[in-house]
This record gives sequence, C-alpha cells and structure tokens, in this order.
Amino acid sequence: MNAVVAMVRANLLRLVHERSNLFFLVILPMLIVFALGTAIGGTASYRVGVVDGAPTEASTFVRDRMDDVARVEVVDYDDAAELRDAVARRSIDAGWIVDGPADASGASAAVVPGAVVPAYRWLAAPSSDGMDLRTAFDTAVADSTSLQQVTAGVAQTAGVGADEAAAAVAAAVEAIPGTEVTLVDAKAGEATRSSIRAVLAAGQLTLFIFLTSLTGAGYLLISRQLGVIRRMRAAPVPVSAIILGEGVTRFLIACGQAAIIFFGAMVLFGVDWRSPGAVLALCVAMALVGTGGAMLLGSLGRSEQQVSAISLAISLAMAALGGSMQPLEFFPDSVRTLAFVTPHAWMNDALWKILVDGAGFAEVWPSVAVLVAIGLALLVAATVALRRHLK
Amino acid sequence: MKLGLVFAMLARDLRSRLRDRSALILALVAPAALIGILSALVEGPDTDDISLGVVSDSSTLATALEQGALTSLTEDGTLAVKEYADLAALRKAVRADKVAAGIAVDDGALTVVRNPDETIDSAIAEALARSTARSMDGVGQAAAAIQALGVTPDPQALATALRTSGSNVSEAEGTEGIDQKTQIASGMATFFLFFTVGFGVLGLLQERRQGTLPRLLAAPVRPWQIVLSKVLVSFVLGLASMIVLIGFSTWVLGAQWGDPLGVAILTVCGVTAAVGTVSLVAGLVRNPDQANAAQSMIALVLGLLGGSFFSMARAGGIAAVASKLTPHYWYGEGLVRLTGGRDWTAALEPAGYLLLFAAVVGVPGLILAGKAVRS
Repeated sequence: MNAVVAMVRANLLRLVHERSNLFFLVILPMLIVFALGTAIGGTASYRVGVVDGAPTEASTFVRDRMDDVARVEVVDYDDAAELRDAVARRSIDAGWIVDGPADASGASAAVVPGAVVPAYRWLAAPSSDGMDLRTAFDTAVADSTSLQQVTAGVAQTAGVGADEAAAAVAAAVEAIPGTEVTLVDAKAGEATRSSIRAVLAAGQLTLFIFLTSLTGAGYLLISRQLGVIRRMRAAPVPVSAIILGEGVTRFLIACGQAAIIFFGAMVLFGVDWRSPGAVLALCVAMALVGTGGAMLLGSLGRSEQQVSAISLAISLAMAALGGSMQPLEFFPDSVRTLAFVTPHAWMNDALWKILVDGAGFAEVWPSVAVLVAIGLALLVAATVALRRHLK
Repeated sequence: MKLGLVFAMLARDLRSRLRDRSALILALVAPAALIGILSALVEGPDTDDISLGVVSDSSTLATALEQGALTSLTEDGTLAVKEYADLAALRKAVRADKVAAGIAVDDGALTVVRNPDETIDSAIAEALARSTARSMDGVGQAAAAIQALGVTPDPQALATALRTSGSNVSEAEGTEGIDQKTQIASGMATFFLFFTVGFGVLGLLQERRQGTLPRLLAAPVRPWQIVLSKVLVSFVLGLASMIVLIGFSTWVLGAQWGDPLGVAILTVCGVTAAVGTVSLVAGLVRNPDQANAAQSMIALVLGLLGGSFFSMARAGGIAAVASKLTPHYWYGEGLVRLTGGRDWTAALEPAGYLLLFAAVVGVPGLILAGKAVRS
C-alpha cells in the first residue's frame, strides 16, 4: 500500500510541475462552465425579432400582444436581411416583417373589405417552438383586424357610414362579453423547454468529465515508455498496485475537474441540479469510468500521438451516441437502445430523470451502479493488458 | 528550381502522413463518424398524424367549431377528430395518448386541453379554438350593432360580409435557416481541422528532435523553403480533410452546404486560418510535446467558444465577443449567410474575417518559426 501512496504523491507532484497541465486541470473545466453557462444559462425565453419601418396602430397592437405572451421577448431589427440572418443562425427563434399598408398587396385588402391593413411576413427556423410562436402571432394579427372586419361588415349590411358603424360596434363590444377560451394541460410538468436546456448542459457535463479523465492515458503511456513501470516491477511492486497507484491519481484529478464544472455551473450561473447529491454521485462514477478507460488505453497504446487521437475520437463519438449532444429522449427508438452500450447513455438517462422528472438518488442508483461496474471492469482489463505487456 | 525542392519535401511528407494512422483518425475517421452519428439523430422520432378530441353540445358555438374551423382541416385529411362525452373523458384520452390534444365546448366557453409532449398539435387546437371564438364574437357583436342602428340583421348577408378571404400573414422567402446536418458537419469538420493541420507545420519540431532538421539545412535548402513546405503540408492535409467531409456529408447524408463557390472560398480561407494558428504554435513552443499540448488546448478552446459542440448564437456579453474571435464562428456564419439560395458574394465578409485571423496569428507565427529553423 505504501507503494500506491508514494506513486500517487509522485504523480501529483509531476502534474503540478508541468505548467501546461494547469490548463487541462483548471482552465479547461472553467472555460466549459463559462461557455455552457452563457449558452444555456438560467433564462428560458423565446426571442422574436421584428422589422417595422413605419409602425401603425395595427402593427403596434400585434407587437404589444406578442410582448405580452409569457416568456416571449420582442427585439427590434433595422432591416429584413439582418432579421433573416438572426433567424438562420438561430440567435432568435422567429420574427416578422411588417410591410406597411402602402406596400400591402391585394391579399390584405381582402382581409378587411374597403380597408387596407398591414401585411406581415413571418420567418422561423423549423422547430416545434416555432409552431407555438406562429399560433400566438396569427392570433394577435387576426385580433388586430377583427374589429375592423366587424365594422366593415356592419357598415355594409346596415348601409351606414364607417364612423357610425364604428360607434355602434364599440358599444356592442362593451355590452357583449367575448367567448372565453381556457387552456388546461392534460399532463403536468412533463419536459419543458427550460428543463431540456438543463439536460443539454448536463449532457456536456457527461462529455467533458469523460473526455478530461481519458486524457490521463498519456501519462501511463509515458511512464511505460520511459521504463519507469518496468523498474517499479523490479522494486517489486505488483502490476495491480501500479494500476491502482496510477488509477487513484487520475481518479482524484478527474473528480477535481468534475467538481469544478459541477460547482462552477451552480455558483456562477445558478444552474439548478435539482438533486445535487445524485448528480454528484453520477459525476464521481463517470470519473471512475474515464479513469478505467484511460488506464486501458495507456496500457495498450503505442505512441502519445496515437493515444491522444484515439481518446479524443472515442470521447466525442461515445458522447454523440450516448446522448450528450442531443437528448436521448429525442433519439429514434432503435438508436436509443443502441445508445446504452455507452456509459454516457446511462449517465444522461439518469440526468434526464433527475432534471426533468425530479428523481433522486433512490431512483437513479442503478445507473450509478452500472457506471461503477463499467469503471471497475475497465480497470481490471487494464491490469491484464499491462501485465501482458510487461511479460 | 527553388520551388522544386519545396514540392519534393511536400510530397515526401504527404506520403508519410498517409501511412500515419493517428493523422487519418483525426482528419477523417473521427469527424466522419461523429457527423454520421449526429446526423442520424436529427432525423428525430417518428411523427404521426394530428388527432384532436372534441367535446361538443348543441350550442351555436359547437356548430361554429365543427362546421367552421374543423371541417376544412378534416376534409383534406390533415386532421382526425374523435368525439368525447365530457371534459373529464377528453382529458383522460389526452393523458393516455389516445388523441394528441383537444377542444371542449362547455356552457358557451371553450377549453383547450393541451399536451406538453405534443406542442404542435396543442398549438393547432389552441388556434382553432381562438379563431372559432373570434368569429362567434364577431357575428354576435355585428348583429347587436346592426340592431342598435335600427336595422333588422339578415344573418345570411352578415355571414357573407364577415367571411374573410385570405390572410395578411405570409411566409417570408428563404428563411429555413442553416440545415442541421450542415451545421453538424461544419462544426465537426472545423473542430478536427485544427488537429489535422498540426501534422504539417508541427513536424518542424519533430524534425529538430530527430536531428533531421540540421541535416536538411546542411543541404542546399533555404530555411524558408523548409518552412514553406511544412505550411503546404498543413494546407493540403486540411483542405483534403475538409473536401472529403463536405463531400461525405453532402452525398451520403444529404446535407446542403449552399452555393459551391461560396463554400469553396470559405473553406480555403478557413483552412488558411487553421494553418496560421498552428504556425504560431510552431513558432512559440520548443519541443513536440509542448506543441501537442498547446495545439489540443487551442483547438478545444476555439472549438468550444466557436460553437462546434453547442451553439453560442444565444450567448450575450463577453461570450458573444469571445465567440466572434474564433475562426469557427466565422466559418459557420459564412454558411448561415449562404442559406436561402444566396450566391457566393454573401460569404465574402466572413471569409475576409477568416483571412484577417490567419494574418494576425500566421504572420508572426511564420516569422518566429523561420527564426527557430535558422537557429
């Protein structure tokens, strides 16, 4: 056991002495938190852009109604091309361009007989959110002209002037209550937009814990190449103790990096992990998987360049398949089943349960157990591989 | 024959890179695999037809709902309607996924039963309910106003007068935005590009460690020729990997990158920016180990901020500024500007920023690298 402690100590010292390590240990996790926090953050709102060169009563009515819709923020743009680009790069969800009555085509005249109303051009990137916004917008536009329509209809049917008709309609609107439309949700608290954003952030947590801990492979490889491990064997230190010593170091480092991302997101960006204990348990288990993977790769690899290329490729491919870049819930069924060959899917699935369904450790412990089992299996495989290599 | 030597060195380096498995993994295998996996996922779960549950009574409101808004949609087959006895039964049916969402008429009011899992169907139900309420209210108000004016309303004439034709909302042209497969492919291709180009310029440090650099210098080769050949290796490798990945995503996965000339200009400028970046690394560090570490750091940071992993488009403040300092951002921005069928000139501004980035990091990098070779 003394040998293990000595190895951990020596490894940690070696790590601190090389300045470039500081980047992977502290700066990269901080940067991930920063990028995640600003990209995902706490606000869950829609942003809708508008280009309105010459606001009229009707177009202002529509704008105000959109601004009143819950969680919608209306942003002004100067010209149509700028608005189009903003929608195309998805920095806003949707937008509309108001063509003043002067440029409005025949279509707008048909909406209100005898009157000209503004025409609107709607832009949205294809997504389910765009559909909701479009409904809100269509309702606002229809409401903006309905009074004019009724007035025109009254003037025509009763054969009176526009002003007289308008006064009569205004009185009728006062007197007759409108039909009430109530909205109820059949299911309570299913996946909302804000919790899906949290799940996307959590997916990146999975990705980077695995990625940063897998970079440890290079250290074992260098120790092997420099002959440090052969000499240790001669000491004599058993192979399992060598793997344990290297593994414990990498595991401690991976846990430290995970902690920076976990607490950083919480403290700096107010990310609500809902069940922090359960999320932390998953992070530690994932760090163990990464450590196991690093030890195996470090035992098998031939050159540093090869190991770093493979670890990057494996981390990203597994993350993609395991639901770190796109929530598992949105996978086609067959791919979703396949996804569970990756440890990432187990962690992301558990994170979905925690963040969306409000599950706690009691519900997600099987995922933690699976991750720990994968991590230990990888460490055993690494021991076997290293022993074979030393023979 | 000054360039002859450069090309001889270039050819030799390229041959050895083709045999190097780590170069192939980073330049082609990893990005192609990721693009493939992520594109398969954006197909999304299968969607089915719209089905709405309806609870109606014998009121005029129910008639207006069923004969107005609902009929036009059921007739063309976009909508299937199921009747339920009361609101409780409808809610139960939505909860059990028997119908996607529903509308109930009850005592002169409308209740829309939404389903948070079926946002589109719920939005359609809401729109139907609101338009029904609006036309009912309009007819009622108009009839009352006409009566107040001392005329007996003729329901038929009123209905004709209030019937609207057409809408003053239309879809704007060319706003479908950047297609998701292209976004994925360009994000991954540019991320790995910054690793791929390292296999050229950073070879200078390898040659120095192996002792082949002083021997090359003993031959009648000028230092600038050596640097140029390495820069060209980076450029050729980077461009080749981009071309293969663009081709793969277009022909195998059906991504739509936009105007070919515009994409070509962007890609050449993007590869130049990446080569400039590794030239700076080569000029600043002393040995291949440091070079690898520095290159990975830079590639990760630029990729992260530039939106290779997740979109930074909604970021504000410092993050938005930081994002715009990366070539990844400008490459993606160029593709965004090319959407909607615009021609190659739309990509010129982003391409200019890529070249600016290349000059700012590449020129000092090449000067330093040239000095390092001579010393």
